[in-house]
Amino acid sequence: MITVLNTIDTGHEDMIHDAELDYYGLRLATCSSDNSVKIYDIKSGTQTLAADLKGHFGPVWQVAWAHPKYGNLLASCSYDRKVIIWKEAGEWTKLYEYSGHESSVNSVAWAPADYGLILACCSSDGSVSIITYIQDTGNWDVKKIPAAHAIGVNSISWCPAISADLNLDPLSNKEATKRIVTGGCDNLIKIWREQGDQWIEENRLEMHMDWVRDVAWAPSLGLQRSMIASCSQDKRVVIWTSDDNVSWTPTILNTFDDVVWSLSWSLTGNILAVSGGDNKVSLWKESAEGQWLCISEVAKGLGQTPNEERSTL
Amino acid sequence: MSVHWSSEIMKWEYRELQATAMTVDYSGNNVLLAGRRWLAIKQINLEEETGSIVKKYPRQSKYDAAGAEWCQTYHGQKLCAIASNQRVDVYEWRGGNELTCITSLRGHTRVVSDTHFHRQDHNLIATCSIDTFTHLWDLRDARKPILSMCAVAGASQVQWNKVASHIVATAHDGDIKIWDYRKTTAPIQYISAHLCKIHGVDWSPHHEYQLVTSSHDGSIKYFDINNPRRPDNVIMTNFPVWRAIYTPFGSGLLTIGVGWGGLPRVEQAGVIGIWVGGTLSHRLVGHTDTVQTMVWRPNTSPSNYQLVTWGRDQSLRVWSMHPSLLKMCHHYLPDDAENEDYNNSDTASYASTVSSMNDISLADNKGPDTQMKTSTTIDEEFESIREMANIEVTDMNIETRTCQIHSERNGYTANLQVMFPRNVTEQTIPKFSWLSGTNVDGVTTIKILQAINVTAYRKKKEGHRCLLHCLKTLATSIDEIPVKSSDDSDSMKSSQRSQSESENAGDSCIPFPRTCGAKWCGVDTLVVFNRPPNTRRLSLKHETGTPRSMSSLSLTPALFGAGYSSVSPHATTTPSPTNAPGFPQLHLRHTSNSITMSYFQDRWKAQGRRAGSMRSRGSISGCVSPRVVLYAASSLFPLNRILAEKYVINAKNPVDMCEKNTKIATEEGETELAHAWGLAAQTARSLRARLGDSGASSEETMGWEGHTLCCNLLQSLITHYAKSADLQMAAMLACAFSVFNNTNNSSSQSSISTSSYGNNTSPYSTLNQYSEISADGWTLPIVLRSNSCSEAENFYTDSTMTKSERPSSCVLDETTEHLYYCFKRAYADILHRWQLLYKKTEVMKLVKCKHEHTPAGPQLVAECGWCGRAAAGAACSHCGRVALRCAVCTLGVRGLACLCAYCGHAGHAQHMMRWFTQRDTCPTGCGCKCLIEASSLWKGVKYV
Repeated sequence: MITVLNTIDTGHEDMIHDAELDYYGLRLATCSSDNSVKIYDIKSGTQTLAADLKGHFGPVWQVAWAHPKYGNLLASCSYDRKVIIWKEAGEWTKLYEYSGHESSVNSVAWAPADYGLILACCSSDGSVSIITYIQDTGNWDVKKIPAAHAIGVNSISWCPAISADLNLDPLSNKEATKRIVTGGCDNLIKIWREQGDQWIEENRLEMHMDWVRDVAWAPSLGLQRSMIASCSQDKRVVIWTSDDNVSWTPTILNTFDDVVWSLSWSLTGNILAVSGGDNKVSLWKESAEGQWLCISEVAKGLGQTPNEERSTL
Repeated sequence: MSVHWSSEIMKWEYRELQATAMTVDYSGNNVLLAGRRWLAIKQINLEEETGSIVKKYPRQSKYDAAGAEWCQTYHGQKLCAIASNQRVDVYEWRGGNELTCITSLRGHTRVVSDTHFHRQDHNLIATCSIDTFTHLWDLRDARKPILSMCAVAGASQVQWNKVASHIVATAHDGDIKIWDYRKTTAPIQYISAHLCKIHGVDWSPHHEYQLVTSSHDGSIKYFDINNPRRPDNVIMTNFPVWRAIYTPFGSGLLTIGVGWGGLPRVEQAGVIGIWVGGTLSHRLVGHTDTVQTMVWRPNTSPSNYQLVTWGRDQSLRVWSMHPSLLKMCHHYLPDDAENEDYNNSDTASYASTVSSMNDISLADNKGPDTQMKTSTTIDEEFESIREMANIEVTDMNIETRTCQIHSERNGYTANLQVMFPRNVTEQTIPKFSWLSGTNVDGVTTIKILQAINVTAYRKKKEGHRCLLHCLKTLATSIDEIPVKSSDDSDSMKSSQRSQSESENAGDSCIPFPRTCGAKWCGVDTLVVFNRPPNTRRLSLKHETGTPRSMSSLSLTPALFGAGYSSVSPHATTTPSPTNAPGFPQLHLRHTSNSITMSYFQDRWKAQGRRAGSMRSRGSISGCVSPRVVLYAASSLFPLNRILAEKYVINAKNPVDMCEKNTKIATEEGETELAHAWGLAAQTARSLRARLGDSGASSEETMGWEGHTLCCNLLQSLITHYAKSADLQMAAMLACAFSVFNNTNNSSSQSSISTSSYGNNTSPYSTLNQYSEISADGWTLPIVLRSNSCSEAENFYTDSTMTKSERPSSCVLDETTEHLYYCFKRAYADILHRWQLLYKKTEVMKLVKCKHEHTPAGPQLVAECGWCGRAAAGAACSHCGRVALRCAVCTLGVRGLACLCAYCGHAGHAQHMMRWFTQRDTCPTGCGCKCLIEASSLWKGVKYV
């Protein structure tokens, strides 16, 4: 059902905390507790180390690729309280360093490309920063949501730009209402909406009984229904659905054996990958009846060398 | 600038003792020096001749004395504890000449790192060890500890609170735990204080809730234990700090550095720094090597504080504090007029008190009348304040001679503890200290204390009871603090609080690092990373599942300073950690070790024992280096890149497009899709027939045209595929039929949309679920949820209206149209990811701008290649020919064109590409180096 495409020996000296392929699926960025970010060129079955980015002075928690229309940009966030945006221009260099947080930065997420080059990041100091690239001046403008979550913000995700809003131009969704969802140590999920030049709290979703570790807004095909998945230290994954982005209905996807750490929606928004402290990955899909079913567990054959047929990307 | 002092008032050298620990007794007159072979007691009375050791007692031990401590209570003043290896020996010094071991505390399984007698009950002693336990012993039955406090990391320090008798602090690597010994299951407070190992902890003598920590990372931090998230103050030094202790007067701080911290050894070693208000103001110079222990000499007079130090240069020194320093620390000194006699009488009385007390204790017989007398005075003191307004006595205990006072004024809360010393004389003033709940800032509390002390001295000198007056002083002092309105102070407080909570949030609120995860990337690739299969997480006793925060990592044993914490720093001959040169790099706690550690603990331990030094990074490389696996999950998604590549997009001829795609799908073995394309082709034919008006006569449609179902069929097909996440098919079908919509988006559409969709009150006009989409738009064969008459009527009029307009066109309503645009856009994104840029562009061409925007970027206007006039479209409006002329073949360009933004020459994309693979100048010969000049424009080439 699922075939191994590539196994990358990252050469990191310590545990990996995140890995992401770029837009085209040709480059892999990984980050680790050894304070480095590495970039690999992936070609069917092989990989070559393209860059080893050193600039953080603490474990790097997350990496995120920007849309290629802005160039080859990678954002990384770290325990050292910094966010670094790396750019490839011949070789990889630091494009921008943001050090406006007072504690570990736990998550970074690029806004949908329609909005422009905007990065959101959140930190254990409880605040969220929205960093916008101003094309005219070449500067980065920072807006901050102070005290977004009392104890700390663990995760952030953008609402997709494609929406069912009729007033929007489907070609450029620049005017679409920008929304982000955050999950924090106060066990809450909060939805923020940009209004004027401010971000206001639009909604708070209460369901989890412990820290929310990850939130993920599902990609939209333009249908009315929006979905947000959230996972928590309380070992549960909850799917929130809404038809108007205002009232949200929770459904518990599953209660797992261990803490759930991360969630990821497929591009078409119908398959959710869930992983957690038990070192397992599972995939979930909604059946026609609205039931969430586990369709596979990937973790099994991990230690083995890939000898299955390799499909091309 | 700091002043150098070499103002020790006394100095002795005892090389032969090889003492590694030193302590001063309760009276302040006797110093115990403990080494491997000898225990020695030395009197340090000023009057006495220097150099003589009072008593030497042989001690045969394999181990150095890691610590020595003399009990600092009146009743326990003869007791001292000496820690060596895993054992703590408690000695009693009887009759001034006999030092006998009365008991040995055996319970620790590794080196004991610190001991501390309880400040009030001499039978209680706390000991802590690298074995992670902090034991509390009752000396009356010392076979086993009466209480044990367990942590995960080894403890390096244990300190009883100087004000509240039940609170004890322990240091574990970079963290501080605060315990209430009445409830030892869990610490009452947890402070992740430093990034490196904490060497010293000292409680404030004036505040119940303040302590200072000194660490290997070179910082000294003041903490309020009620606000553990953020230090109240931080002093950064340039050397690892071995000890930082409060001055008993005012707000100063004394520090000893570890080793020589980067400075030349001779300059730095043995220097004691005195910090006032965060800056290094004085240095005590004299010791020629690192100072191991410094203690304040007990029972000195308030104007004559003395420091006793023992260094690795085997010298014992006594230092006095210069009056200017006391003043700098806001310490009250009696003013000059009364200075003389005050001081004289003071010293005298102190000496006499101490000696008389010694006599009493030596005789092992307490003077009953003294007791009686003091208790009556205390009674009187306590009685005097009962009636005071604005002051609430929350606790009063004659036995421990303390009372606690609560006062609220101007939004400030003051909680004060007053303790009357046991050896009370006319000149002794009670000891005032602040308790938790006080919201006056640190500097002000010190000032108020001094004001209170001044009052106390005066009143005592005059021979009056002082407590009442002291509390009056407290009240006036608080009134003098700038008044804030209560709202103000509240909001201030809360904002400060929230600020402080967000600042410097410790590891306790940083989530536990993910070591496993899966991410969908690209179109259908799943990126998976996780821990190698042979890892096993260290499970902590009390914990279920994976911990939530990173602070639990620091609980894993010996994560940072494992190299040296396995050996007590007291016991080694060098107190400096082994890695002083590497110090500046150690700003952040090396969490990588810790996260790895928590999963590789067994291995780690084994390696550590072998290697000794634990700092090697490649700890996991010995196991399995971290891997990332990419999985192709294309079978999970109904998206097919080969189909996407082959599919024909030709919106102008839907029938052709559908037929061709039917063939393609069949070739690829997608029979279901082929069938759907076949249906679409049928529909397309009928629609075209209807559009062409001649359709009615056409035979092939056989009445199918104009049949309402054909539009419905199409829509339900699209809906079906969208529902099953087959975005490819949904979008492709939408593409195929965009032409029918586009040609008719005139009046009929707008009339429909205003009649049936502008009206949001009717239930079926608001489309909330895409399952209904197919039912809307054209004929509405089913009545949806209309349960009221008016709605039914409404529906009827609507449907008739649409019916009357519809036969001529097959038009999507606004919502559906928008939805289809979204499908196309999302599909275009997928094509982009697949790098099928042509296909992507073709799909995007079918997404229509709703509002005519003026494009934001530069606009390309073609200049007609024949008549030279500007042409808005592909064809010139004047001469009617194709506007662009290819610079290579000189024919008109239909289809994809390329142009140089610099010289403006254009051509067939293919011709231009071929041209520029070999040359870099413009084919027209204009001399423009198009590849270089317009390089930004040609960047896209690499994706083709």
